[in-house]
Amino acid sequence: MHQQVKIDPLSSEDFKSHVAQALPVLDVMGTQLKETASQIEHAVIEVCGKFQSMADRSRAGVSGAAELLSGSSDSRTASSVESLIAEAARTIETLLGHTQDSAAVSTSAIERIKRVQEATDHIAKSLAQLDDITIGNRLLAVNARIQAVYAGDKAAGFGGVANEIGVQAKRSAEIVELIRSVSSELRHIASSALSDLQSMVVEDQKAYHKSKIEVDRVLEDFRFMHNSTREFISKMQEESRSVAKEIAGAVRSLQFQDRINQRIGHVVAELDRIKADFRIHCADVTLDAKPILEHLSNSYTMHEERNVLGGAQGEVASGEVELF
Amino acid sequence: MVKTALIVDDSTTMRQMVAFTLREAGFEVVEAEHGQDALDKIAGRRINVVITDLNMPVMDGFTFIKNVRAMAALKFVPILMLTTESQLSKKEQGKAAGATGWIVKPFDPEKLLQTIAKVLP
Repeated sequence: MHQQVKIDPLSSEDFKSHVAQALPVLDVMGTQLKETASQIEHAVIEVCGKFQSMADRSRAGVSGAAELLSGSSDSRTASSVESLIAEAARTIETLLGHTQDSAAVSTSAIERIKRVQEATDHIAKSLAQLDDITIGNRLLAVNARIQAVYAGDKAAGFGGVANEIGVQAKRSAEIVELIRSVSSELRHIASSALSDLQSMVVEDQKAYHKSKIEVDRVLEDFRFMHNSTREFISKMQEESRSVAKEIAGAVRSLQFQDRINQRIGHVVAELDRIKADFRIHCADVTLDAKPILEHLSNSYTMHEERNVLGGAQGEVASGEVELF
Repeated sequence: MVKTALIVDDSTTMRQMVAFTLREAGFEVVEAEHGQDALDKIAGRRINVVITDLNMPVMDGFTFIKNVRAMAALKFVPILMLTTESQLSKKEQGKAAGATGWIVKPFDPEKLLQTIAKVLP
């Protein structure tokens, strides 16, 4: 059963003494409250600043990436990724076109070499005809000598002519052999060159088709990657806007600090009024505040609190680390 | 191997901030509201590091540390005090109780992780 504790009413002087003891504590309370409000305000300002910085950096990062993809107004970076892909495709098409032109030149060279081969064939046939003529001339020379002998002295000159015909026939045969030899070599060279060119044209065509397929595939992959990147950046822009909205929400929430500031301000104002009132009525009370303030200091756990009472010398600073 | 940290603090926001810092660094985290709660949660669990406040209800930090050092399995576990207390006399008390280190709040996440890295075997 609840027992009522009988408290003897204080005399007027005792009551005044009690009230006077509360005065130094009220002073400290007021200061603590003001400093607390100030600390909260600074912390909120710092947090808001960091939020703003985060939002700005998020936006700047995404904007930069988007600009890189689409090109900017700066002439140094005017080429967007899209225009670079298009330019690469055109350059590759030009290179492949040159390859085709080279193949056409090779094909033309093949035709000309074939005509050279045909020409050497004609030369060979002509040489065969010359051979017949040479043989004929030699026979003629032999016959002429024989006739010269039969003709005796009257045909002495004729023998000289016959000899000369024989000599010319021999020289013709030698020249024919030389031409035959050169023509044969030319034919051999032409045949070898033709074979090489034909192989090269075939290989070049294969390489051209293979390269075209490969290049088309790579360009397609590049376009796909570029589109994927563009989509990703678009999503990041959306995320950045969401983050900014959330930060704005957090900043709104942090405005509790302003309401607290006002409420603390009202409390402090009332405390000041009460202190002033008590001082007037306890002006004649002598009081040693030291023990009261010492007792207060012993209840504190932070150097900022003890600082209000001027007792925070030689203390460890906030954030400091010491290993024992 | 994942390391486990025990965080002891009567402030929920303080536990959240320390837990966030340690989880980002790959720790598993166990939280306790005061010394007695921490002793109950420590039982049968492998703890690699303890971070404890000083001023807590039910059982304060110094008493908690003394109890931990009395356990054979936790005699050498690193214990860091993370507290608003800045008086040198309190720090000496912490050292005498068996704390490995003393950090005055507010803590810097990077410094906290560096300190833990130094004290972990």
